[in-house]
Amino acid sequence: MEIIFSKYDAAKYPFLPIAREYVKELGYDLNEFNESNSYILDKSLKRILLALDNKPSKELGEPDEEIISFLISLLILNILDIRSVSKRFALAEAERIENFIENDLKDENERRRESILRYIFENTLGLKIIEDSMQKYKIKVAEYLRRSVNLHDPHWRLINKDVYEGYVHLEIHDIVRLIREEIALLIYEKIEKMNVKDIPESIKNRVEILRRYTINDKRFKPIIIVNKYPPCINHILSTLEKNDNVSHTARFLLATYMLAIGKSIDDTCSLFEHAPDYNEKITRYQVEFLAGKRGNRKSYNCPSCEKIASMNLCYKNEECDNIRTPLQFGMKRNG
Amino acid sequence: MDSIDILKRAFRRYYFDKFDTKLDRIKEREFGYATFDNRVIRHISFNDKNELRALLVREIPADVYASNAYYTNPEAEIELKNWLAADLIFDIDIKDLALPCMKDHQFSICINCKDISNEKICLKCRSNTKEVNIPCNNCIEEGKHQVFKILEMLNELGANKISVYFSGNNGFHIHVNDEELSYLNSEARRDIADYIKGIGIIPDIFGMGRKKNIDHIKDALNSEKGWKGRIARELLSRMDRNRLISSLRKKSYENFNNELRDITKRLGVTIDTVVTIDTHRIFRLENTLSSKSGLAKIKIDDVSQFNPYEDAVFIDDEPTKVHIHYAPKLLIKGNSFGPYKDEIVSLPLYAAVYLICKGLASEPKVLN
Ligand SMILES: [Zn+2]
Ligand SMILES: [Zn+2]
Repeated sequence: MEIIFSKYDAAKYPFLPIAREYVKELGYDLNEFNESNSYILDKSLKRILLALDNKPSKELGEPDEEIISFLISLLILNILDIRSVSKRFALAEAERIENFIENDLKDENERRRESILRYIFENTLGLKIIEDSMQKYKIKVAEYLRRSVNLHDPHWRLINKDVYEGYVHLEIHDIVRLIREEIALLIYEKIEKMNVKDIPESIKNRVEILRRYTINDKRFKPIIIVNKYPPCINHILSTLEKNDNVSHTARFLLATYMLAIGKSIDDTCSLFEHAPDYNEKITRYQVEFLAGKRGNRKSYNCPSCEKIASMNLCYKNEECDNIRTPLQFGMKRNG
Repeated sequence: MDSIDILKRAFRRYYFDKFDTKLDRIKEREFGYATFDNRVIRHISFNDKNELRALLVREIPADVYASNAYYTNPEAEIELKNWLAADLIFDIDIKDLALPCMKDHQFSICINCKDISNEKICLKCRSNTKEVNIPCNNCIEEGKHQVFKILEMLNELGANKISVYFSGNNGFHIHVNDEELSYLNSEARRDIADYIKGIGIIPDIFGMGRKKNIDHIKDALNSEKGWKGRIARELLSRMDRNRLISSLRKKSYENFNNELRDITKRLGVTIDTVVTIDTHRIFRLENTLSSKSGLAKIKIDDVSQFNPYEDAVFIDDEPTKVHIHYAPKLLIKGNSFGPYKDEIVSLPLYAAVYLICKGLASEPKVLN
């Protein structure tokens, strides 16, 4: 089946190669944008700022502007070179794209739906999704689990899904949510790969404006890693530091550890600020829950080394010296 | 164990004459074993099954384990093994089923004076006791029932290459050798374990969330497949559809939530989650003997016909004198034994080994 994609699609899905090709076809060179195009440069900067506040525009603008402002945003972020800023932008843009995919999968035109499935899911993400019945799609159990484990709401658990014949049967909304992190990663990788030779001053100016904006924002400051933490804890901190997603069990370990060594709830919460899906309210609720200030008022202990190993989170080295819990790390053992 | 000679003789003959295995990718697995003097050796590997058999014949281990995981370097310490994938495994332990018949065949024997009781410390001599369980027919049938349930659910998950094993003592092991599922990490395996156990269900999927949705409720009651289907059938078996719908309309979120939890717990399978989520475990190897019973962990082709006291007995019947401290009536290999109380009896080797492994018999003391 032929894939039907227009410039409107390139505008909705500017992370796809078709967007790049479209710009090339029009004869634009990103490096030629100077103050005479300040409108589009400001639009790009605004696009980044909205994304950082997690309020990307829901509307689709004029296609050329959409595509070019997206690509210039990538350029600006590449020069800015702050990982946490790029990650946050990528995630917010991915969320925006999610809405477009959702609408396209609801399109009455079967070829249109098929094009999205083939072009975005199959060719770009390598994920085979099958249309099951109208407004329902199915995905292999293993493919589902590989993604759903990073989503913490109980409705993602396998038992709460329609599972039969080897497939998880999902509503459109769930299917698109499932791939958010992968789209964000594609966008992030695009930022890193931008070619930044011969950048005009006009674009560099926007980079400096953005730098001043982000420099005092604690969300984008690197975490200080104290080397007295045991390796399992350091590993989680450095994953967070890279703004990568951290599994539910790793979050549990980090929070219970920090609480156990006497860190305040505030300090413990702030460690998660770098998580790409950080939500202050939810994080606080969860940390307070573990500290026994919520729910059944039971406080949770830091897991033992054995438990941590069984969760695949153990990175033990000689310094661990046969301790039985990460809390013993660095302490002289008796006898 | 004070009767190692008999056990070793029996185990040696088994490994020498009868042991074979169809285990695949032997080279990529970690092996481990426990000796009769309670040492545990891990992180060993073999090029093929002949090397494995050579070790079994040479060492005569009390218990033998192989990893469900495949590694580039199975011999290396855990961080250097380079994990590639792992079979998905499930452990059904009959003891965890809390069956009413347990009280009839679980007891404790004092390791010193051999007094029989239900105590952890012997009331007569204050020594420790050993817990003994001799699964009855009912236990085994209940275990099989769990196996059938897990097979139904694994079928929903689309799992291929499923093998059912008798665990060698008191339960069943399920091995899933499915490539797609073999790459799943421990968190994904936990989600599968919860699915099998029936843990974590929310009322919302029945339209019974904080805000009820009658159309959704009616829809869910029409379900045939998966958990929704199981629950719908259970609810509809209690009252007819119209009464059920009006009762659900009136039911509070909390009440329905509790009801759901009861149902899923009952319809779920009792498995040990720790086994399933551990992707670095070494797990009893097929066709090896358990030192807890002398029976073999073996693959079961026809679960409904399986009888461990018939089909998992591979030790020979050489007459062997043992001092039996206590034994209820037993039926092994179609032969009935006992009951016995503090007597020296000549039994076929397989029955002698079974009682020694259970701590109920020992080698008769030789007078010098
Ligand atoms: Zn005693
Ligand atoms: Zn029983």
